[in-house]
Amino acid sequence: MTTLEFPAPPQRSRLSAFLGLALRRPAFLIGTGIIAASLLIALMPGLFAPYDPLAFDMGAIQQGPSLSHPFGTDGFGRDILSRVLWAYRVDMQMAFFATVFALMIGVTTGALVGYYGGIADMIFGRLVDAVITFPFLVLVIAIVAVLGPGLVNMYVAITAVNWVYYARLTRAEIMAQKAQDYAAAARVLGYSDGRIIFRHLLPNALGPVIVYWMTDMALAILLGSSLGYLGLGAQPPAAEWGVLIAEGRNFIMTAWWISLMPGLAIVLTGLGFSLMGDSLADLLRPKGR
Amino acid sequence: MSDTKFEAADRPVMLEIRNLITSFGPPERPLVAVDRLSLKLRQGEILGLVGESGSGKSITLRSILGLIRPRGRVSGEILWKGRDLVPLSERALGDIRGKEIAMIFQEPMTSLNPLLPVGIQITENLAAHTDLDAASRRREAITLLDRVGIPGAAARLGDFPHEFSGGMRQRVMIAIALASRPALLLADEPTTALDVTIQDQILRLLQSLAGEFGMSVILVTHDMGVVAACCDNVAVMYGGRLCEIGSTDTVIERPAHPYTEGLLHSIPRGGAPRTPLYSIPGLPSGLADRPAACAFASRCPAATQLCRETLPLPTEVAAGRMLACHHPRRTAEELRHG
Amino acid sequence: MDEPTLLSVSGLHVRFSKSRNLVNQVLGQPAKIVRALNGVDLSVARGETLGIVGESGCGKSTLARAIAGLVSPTEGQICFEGKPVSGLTGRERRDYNRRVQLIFQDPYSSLNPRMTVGDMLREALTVHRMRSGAAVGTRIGELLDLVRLPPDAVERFPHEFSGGQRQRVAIARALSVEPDCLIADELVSALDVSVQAQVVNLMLDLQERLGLAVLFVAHDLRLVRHVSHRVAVIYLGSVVEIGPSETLFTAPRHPYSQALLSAAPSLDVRHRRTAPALSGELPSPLAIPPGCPFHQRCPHAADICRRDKPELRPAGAGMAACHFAGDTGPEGFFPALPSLTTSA
Repeated sequence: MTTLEFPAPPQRSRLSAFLGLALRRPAFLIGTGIIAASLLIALMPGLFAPYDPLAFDMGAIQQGPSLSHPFGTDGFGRDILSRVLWAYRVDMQMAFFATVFALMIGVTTGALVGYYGGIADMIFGRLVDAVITFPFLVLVIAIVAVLGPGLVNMYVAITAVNWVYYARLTRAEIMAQKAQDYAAAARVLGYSDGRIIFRHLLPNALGPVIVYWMTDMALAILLGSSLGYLGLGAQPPAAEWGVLIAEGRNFIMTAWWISLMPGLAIVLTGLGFSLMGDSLADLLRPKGR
Repeated sequence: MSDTKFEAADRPVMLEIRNLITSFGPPERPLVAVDRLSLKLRQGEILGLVGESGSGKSITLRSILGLIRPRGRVSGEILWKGRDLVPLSERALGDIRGKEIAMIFQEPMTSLNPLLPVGIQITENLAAHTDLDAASRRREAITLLDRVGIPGAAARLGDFPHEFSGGMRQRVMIAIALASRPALLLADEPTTALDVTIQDQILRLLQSLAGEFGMSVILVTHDMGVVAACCDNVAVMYGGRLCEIGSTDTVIERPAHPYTEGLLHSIPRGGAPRTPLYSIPGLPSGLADRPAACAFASRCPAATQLCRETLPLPTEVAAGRMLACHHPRRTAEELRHG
Repeated sequence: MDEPTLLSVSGLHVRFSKSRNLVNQVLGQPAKIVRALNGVDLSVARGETLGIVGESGCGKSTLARAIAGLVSPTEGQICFEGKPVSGLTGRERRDYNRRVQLIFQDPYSSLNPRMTVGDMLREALTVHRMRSGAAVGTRIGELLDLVRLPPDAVERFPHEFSGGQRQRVAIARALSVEPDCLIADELVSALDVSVQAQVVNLMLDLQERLGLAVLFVAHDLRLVRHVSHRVAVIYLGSVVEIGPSETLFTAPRHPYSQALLSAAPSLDVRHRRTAPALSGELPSPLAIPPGCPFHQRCPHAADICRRDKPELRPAGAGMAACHFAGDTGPEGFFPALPSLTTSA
């Protein structure tokens, strides 16, 4: 009785459709390129670094950028380029470990609190108020001061504060998704709460969280470097951008490259994460909304 | 209604649209939303513009006031009291907008300023388009609110838009539009978001304004019932083109275009309960793949090869009745005499 | 209807408390109560369509959601096959959820945008163990066929469909769990007229074939009249009139039903504008007037109407909640409006 004409869209898999869209965005390409290169360096710094990052060369102290030392050398004659490249290993690690646990804890808490509401939500609300009253850095420094300096303690301190931000974002997204009819439809179909939260609502709520995560990794590198600079994070002589900058601070007028080169690495990586995050925000949005 | 029936030929033509084409997108591959549309509107006439979503009815309305600029391009002639609006600059159009020609939209909340009391929004419009002093502007604002049926008008001047219900907001919107005593009101689905009882009140209001002040109205709607309730004439659109125009009574009782007939058929009325309703087969084609010939041919039961090859042009088949179809459902004889 | 009652609602009240802001909480002001439903009684039998009409804000959507279990009643009872639903637990409760399905108005928000049609149907079928193994795939094909969607719809996402097609997907999903009762909340009001007819025809056909009870909630009176066996008119959270569709539409007993029906635009151009317009708007469900909820807008209101709330009582072939309906002869107290009795 009813004829249905079907407009035939091109048959493509979800992945190739996503890639097709992604490849047309220069911001996404540049961002992903930077991060992919950063990861590669972090995995195999030895392959790219021309010198041993810890090897002293008393014959080449505080030399400016040259062909043999493109980024110059520091007060012990160590090659800055090699130290910056080796620092990728620590800093990319920081970007990941300082955020991923906060992401997991925050998303789970936020999803549950946002879906169920009630008393748990009220308690959570007060907790958020309490945490965001303090400046982020001050709170983290306070926790590291209690736990003692070092990378692992820094991860613990950042996670302890940072999960709240993920939870707050996830909670808001889940509440918005919960108000949509498809969430009610899932309840009418008698699906369990767990299924509704994690299979239906969360995939739709996660987009902004992923984007925030990208920017947060950039922030984590900045934070980690700051703590390294203050001597609370990675410990010298380990190569870490913040530590490297701190090492050059006394020579900033005479040997500017010691601090500037790791600083550029921070900027570049941060830019990569931000570009990727921004374009992901567009790409992750479901179509037809 | 039949006693106050609109006498067609006696009144002057206020608006005449000739060969209106509104297109979007790149000029070399334009997406034509309205294609060669022509119609006339007389003083005090309420014209219903009917069609499904994507038929071009709202775009037609917006084209009149240049509201589709700068993304859309308009060609053809839009003669307002004999003056062509198409070539006018944004500034010259601004003098006509809101003063001679006013417009109301489906969702009044988005077209009212939420931060200003409605009294100020009305007097603002009065200040812009009349030379009344402040005291008489206030009196006029109360009269207008009273006129559109808002109880206790004087007390509500200081209220904000969110303090009104949906139907009341639509009235406020109409009151603001009427402040400048427009000669033409463009109404884009003004009652679609409202309940039938409120819709009924708004439609009556439009009718009495047209009757008393000789205001002309173009009422865009998808509901044939709304047309039957308050329009003198009706223009049916499909795929950006005009199917037919005629007086409401004759079009509803004797539809000549197969699309009009199908549309009227698919509305349940009088048939045995719970029997299948007539449904027009298929789906409307999108803006990009609209055929150069008759747009309705692929869904039309009467379509022939001719329809798929040649675009039927609107022709006057009887007095006041335009029709664009190769195979009308009624002969010219039937259309002339019923 | 000779069929036994499948689902019945008695004395159903739903109240929401509006959240107070901090200032009001500190000042100890009581929370405002929204009285969405105020004692609704109705029932629906197997294979029957009960139309539910009323203005927006009258509580018809709340009623649909309460029956579907999305909103818990404050008072009153919903009985399914004679058993109160509030007493069901565990397996029986899950069974009720499966057997009463709700279809939403907006097909753009009622389908998860990240799931294909196949995913949605497969999930519904497996969660309720309707089929297992290879039978799931076969059943998905059958369901798509049932709602007249092509087989390749399985791999498509909601955004690839038009509004009418999405509503078919929603119907297929509801039918996948083999319900006995379907609640259609404004099933077609988001669709174009010509597409509305397609979806309504599909629903009528499926109801005949599967013997479903249908609660058809809508504001389009012509459509409700066409599809319903019986119709209930709701005003401010109460049923003011309920009865066989044809008698209710040709000779409404309650003054509100009369006003509502006369306000609906008719296609009959010769009979337009004979009845006076209903003045005023729906009172806020925050402050429901005492007595008859309709007395403020009723042209016939008397003292008793301001004092006592009328109960539903037999009037003609149905029931009406009006002090003056029913006991004054076969035509009732108020003659039915002529413009409504005929339509072209």
